[in-house]
Amino acid sequence: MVITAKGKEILEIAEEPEYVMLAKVEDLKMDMLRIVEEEEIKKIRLKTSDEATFEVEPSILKEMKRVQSLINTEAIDTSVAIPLPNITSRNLSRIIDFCWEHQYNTENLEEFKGRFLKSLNHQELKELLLAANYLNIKTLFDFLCNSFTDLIQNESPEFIRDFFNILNDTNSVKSMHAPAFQGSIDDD
Amino acid sequence: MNCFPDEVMEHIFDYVTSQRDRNAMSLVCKNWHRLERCNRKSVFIGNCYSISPERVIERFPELKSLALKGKPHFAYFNLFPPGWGGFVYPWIEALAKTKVDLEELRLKRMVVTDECLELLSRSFMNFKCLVLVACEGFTTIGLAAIAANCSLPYSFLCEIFPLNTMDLHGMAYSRDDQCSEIYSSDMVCIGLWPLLLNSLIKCRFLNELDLQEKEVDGPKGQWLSCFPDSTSLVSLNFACLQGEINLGALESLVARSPNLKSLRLNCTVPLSALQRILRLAPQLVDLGIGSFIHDPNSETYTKLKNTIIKCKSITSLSGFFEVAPHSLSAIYPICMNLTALDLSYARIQSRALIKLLRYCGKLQRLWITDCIGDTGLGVVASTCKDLQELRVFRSAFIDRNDPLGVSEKGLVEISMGCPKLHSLLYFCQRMTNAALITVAKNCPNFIRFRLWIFDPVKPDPDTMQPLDEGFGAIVQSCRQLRGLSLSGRLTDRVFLYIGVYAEQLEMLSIACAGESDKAMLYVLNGCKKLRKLKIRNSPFGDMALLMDIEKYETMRSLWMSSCNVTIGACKALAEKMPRLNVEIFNENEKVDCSVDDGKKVKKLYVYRTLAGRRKDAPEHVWSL
Repeated sequence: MVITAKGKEILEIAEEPEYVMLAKVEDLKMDMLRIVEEEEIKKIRLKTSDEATFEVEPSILKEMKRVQSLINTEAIDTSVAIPLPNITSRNLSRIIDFCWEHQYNTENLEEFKGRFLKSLNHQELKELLLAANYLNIKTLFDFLCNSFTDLIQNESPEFIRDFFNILNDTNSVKSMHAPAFQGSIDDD
Repeated sequence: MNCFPDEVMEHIFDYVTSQRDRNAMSLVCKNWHRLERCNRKSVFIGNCYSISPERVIERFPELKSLALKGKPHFAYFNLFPPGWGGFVYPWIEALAKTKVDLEELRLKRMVVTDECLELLSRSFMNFKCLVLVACEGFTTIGLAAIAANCSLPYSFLCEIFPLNTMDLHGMAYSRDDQCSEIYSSDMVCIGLWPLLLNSLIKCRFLNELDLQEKEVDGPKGQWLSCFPDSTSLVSLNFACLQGEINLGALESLVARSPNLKSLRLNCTVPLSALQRILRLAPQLVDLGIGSFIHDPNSETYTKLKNTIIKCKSITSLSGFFEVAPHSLSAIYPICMNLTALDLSYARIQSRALIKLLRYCGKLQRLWITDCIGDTGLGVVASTCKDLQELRVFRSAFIDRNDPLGVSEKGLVEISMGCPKLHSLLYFCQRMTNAALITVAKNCPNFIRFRLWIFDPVKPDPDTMQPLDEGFGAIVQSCRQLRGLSLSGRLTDRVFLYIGVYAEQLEMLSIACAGESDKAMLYVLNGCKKLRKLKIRNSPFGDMALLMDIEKYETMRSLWMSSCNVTIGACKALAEKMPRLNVEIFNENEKVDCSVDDGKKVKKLYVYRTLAGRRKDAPEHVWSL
């Protein structure tokens, strides 16, 4: 069992004065245990699709709304790792990195985001977006959605179709509407 | 892996703000078309007759913001008959009827009657923003109706029209009809809104105010003092307003507008007032200077010098309607922060102008007149390494000491010094093929390239050859070129180059160019993305018009004036292509069905439409 610094502190305070009654010490011990247990509850283990287990900090976990709701509403047994069958270890480690930087790296966040994006190929980007959606991590999801719009900026429907690997099921009639909406009010 | 689930796609759509990208995404597949359609809140229609309002509302049920254009750009230059059309009323009517929750309406070159404004004021609860650019047909009566029908309290009435979103540009005008086409809409605006706003604010209280007696062309009102005690004013622009304004009211307004970022003064605001304003608003980012006349040895001038040094946030400067010689040095300290400089209306001598530009090392956008001369452009080239957009207009005021315009030399210098240049408008005395070839090599990033030679059929003065090879080089190396205006003597050959190389070209403007029908066909066959084609005084006839008629359905519009097209050919075009509206204007002649089919058409305007033939055309517009 891990004793947190906070737990130790309480123990020391409890044992120091001689006049403390036994019952009081017992109370404090219970308090300490509860705190330790809470820490345990908060620090959750997650198991990825490739059977890797991650121990995740409470502050990171807070970002993963889906895991939060699993714990809160479905009373999942937190002593065993929560399985995330849709997420690979590689992606989960990226997600944890992102959430960590987003919380603690206030100075060079933009720089980190740039590096983060550069390290991903298109396929990985898609997987990560789906993972962020599945885990319901708003910051990462918003960031990746925005990144997608940059990637398809000024591109043709054909390019976008290839990019997303989508079958063309449009017919020519529909495209008749499209030209009416082309251009911008700021053009000539 | 296949596509994302719908909820993910919807979220991605939320981030796509460009209409262009939205259009492309909606054509990817049926599902995306559906998702995008139900997600789009902001819609742009390039031609109000191209689609019916009902169809737009049906397609975009979440519509909140609509931008509409009426007449095309070249209508500024008296090419369109009076009363041609572009009425916004049917749109407002349809939007009101279907209970669209409209928040924004932006109109350009449309007819906006008082009745429209009245209906607008009554129909949309959450309406926030109205922008009218070069619109006509309304008076203060219409604006009074907005005020009168508005059930919201006064303070909120001002909120509805915060000045960062209300931008009423009056009737369009151009400074120089002769070289008219080159002026973009940016140049062609007169701000009349302060006066209109004045009426609008006032008539909440003054029901007796007879607005019919109020002219919308004079600034005599005390409109600046009509603003509430504390304002959320972000932008105040009355640079184009004629006549004097109340300086005390102006200073007081600036003092109680802590959010003011953009302020453009007219020519009547003197330097002493400028100094006081800058002291009150050191946070300004965009400043339009009115008059800049003062004795450099005076106390006021020293005060201005000391005040302006503190205005570190100014990055954009314009105006300078009157400038005293040797007085510009006060500006030098802020020049190094400038990214945009518009001196197209400035009356500054060439020498003073060049001196000023030496301090502007960070400029990205520069608008000037040709009084700068080739030498001045050389200074720009060696100073402004980040320059992206350059416009050199024809000077309206010529000082006898100034150089006589600019030539190919200045442009070559610019191309060597400013590799980031992507947008150019250039009025010049002469141009050569060799210069254009060099420019093309130095600046391959052009998106817009608009060249205007004073004599529109002038050949290369060094070789007496047409400028085909020069423009050919431009289209060949600038692969992202979207807008091109040609000038100088040109044969069919240049159009062959355009057709082959200008793959991204969307707008092409031609005047007095080409030799035969082939020229036009090269363009129509080659430029797959062409949306707007404007042709004037060129020898293209029926064959060129009718060879590839399906092409016009993929474009927004075709304009041909003083070409060799006949009425018979226009009739044939209209008959074969029901999705095109074909309109002919022969000055003020009324529709005459018995007219000979062989008769030449003076002006032809063709545009694609899904709404069918329009019913509001006046009788001198022949709708075929």
